[in-house]
Amino acid sequence: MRVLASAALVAWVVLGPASAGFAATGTGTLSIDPADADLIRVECFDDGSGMPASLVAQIRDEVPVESPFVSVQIVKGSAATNATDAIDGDGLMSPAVFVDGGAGDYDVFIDKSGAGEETYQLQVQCMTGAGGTGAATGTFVAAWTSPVPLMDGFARALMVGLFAGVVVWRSLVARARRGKGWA
Amino acid sequence: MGMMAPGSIRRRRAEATPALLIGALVATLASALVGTPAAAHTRNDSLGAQAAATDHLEITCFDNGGGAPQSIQVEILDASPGALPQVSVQLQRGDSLVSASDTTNGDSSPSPEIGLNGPVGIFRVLVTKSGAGLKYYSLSYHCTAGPDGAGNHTGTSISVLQNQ
Repeated sequence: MRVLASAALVAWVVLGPASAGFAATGTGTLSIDPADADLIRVECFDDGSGMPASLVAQIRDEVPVESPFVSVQIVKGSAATNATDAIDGDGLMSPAVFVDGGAGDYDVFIDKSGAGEETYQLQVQCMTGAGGTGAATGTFVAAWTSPVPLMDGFARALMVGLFAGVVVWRSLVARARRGKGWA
Repeated sequence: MGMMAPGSIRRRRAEATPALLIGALVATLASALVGTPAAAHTRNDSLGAQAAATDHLEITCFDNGGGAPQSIQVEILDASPGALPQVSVQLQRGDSLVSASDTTNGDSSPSPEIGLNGPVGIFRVLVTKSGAGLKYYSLSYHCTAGPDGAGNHTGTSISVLQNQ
């Protein structure tokens, strides 16, 4: 069993617009357990490119080559669809499938057909047209969001310097006021 | 070992037959009273030739007097002759998701059984296949009053949201 944003999801990244038209790409690993599956939620929204009408997804079964098939399902409301990468490790994606669900959250399942650890790459994209047509529009995958990066060493040193400067400056001002009888 | 006359064998079989019938009757009644998890429901259907064909079902677990539901189990049987594609079932509720596939087509053995724990309510079930080609399947499902498929069989109903 796998739950949303589980620890086994690894190396999720959000890339810029890709040549294939998929804005969001991530990789993950399904464990040796034959029942293991991943569940992610994809939000489609208008990022200025237009109101979303559909979500498109495709999946690629990565090397090493194992016997189970890797598949992706999209579900929203009563609509559901499925695509399977029937050839492991050939570098080609499964057929692209879509659900015409408009704006909002879609459930996306990733599963496999038997025992054996499987690594996959998943691509999702919200589109302004039905059937995966139109222009790419806002696509958000919470499980793929990178954490806010911490400040690097230079930035930390700069912040410490500014803080120290403020403290020294206020100390000097207070001393000057005491000297003028303001204290 | 001593020899036994054929008539003796027939007599022993005749004596044993009522006992076997009574035993089977008692076992059946006991099974019905206890409400064993073996009392599964079955849905026989098909997936069309299109590779993306998906059946979307909702199974509701409720207390029909057998006890408050605590879990659900499903398994899928590929009832088609021939080879690929394989038929799979996905079971989901909330953030929990499990999957099973019948990797041997046309035999009488279903996929491994999968299940989720959860109280009264709806579980989402998808039936999918790994590629193009018409497939027939038999989906078995049942809700039970104990966790992990234990306890009595309890209220189980199904509705079809999408049939492809």
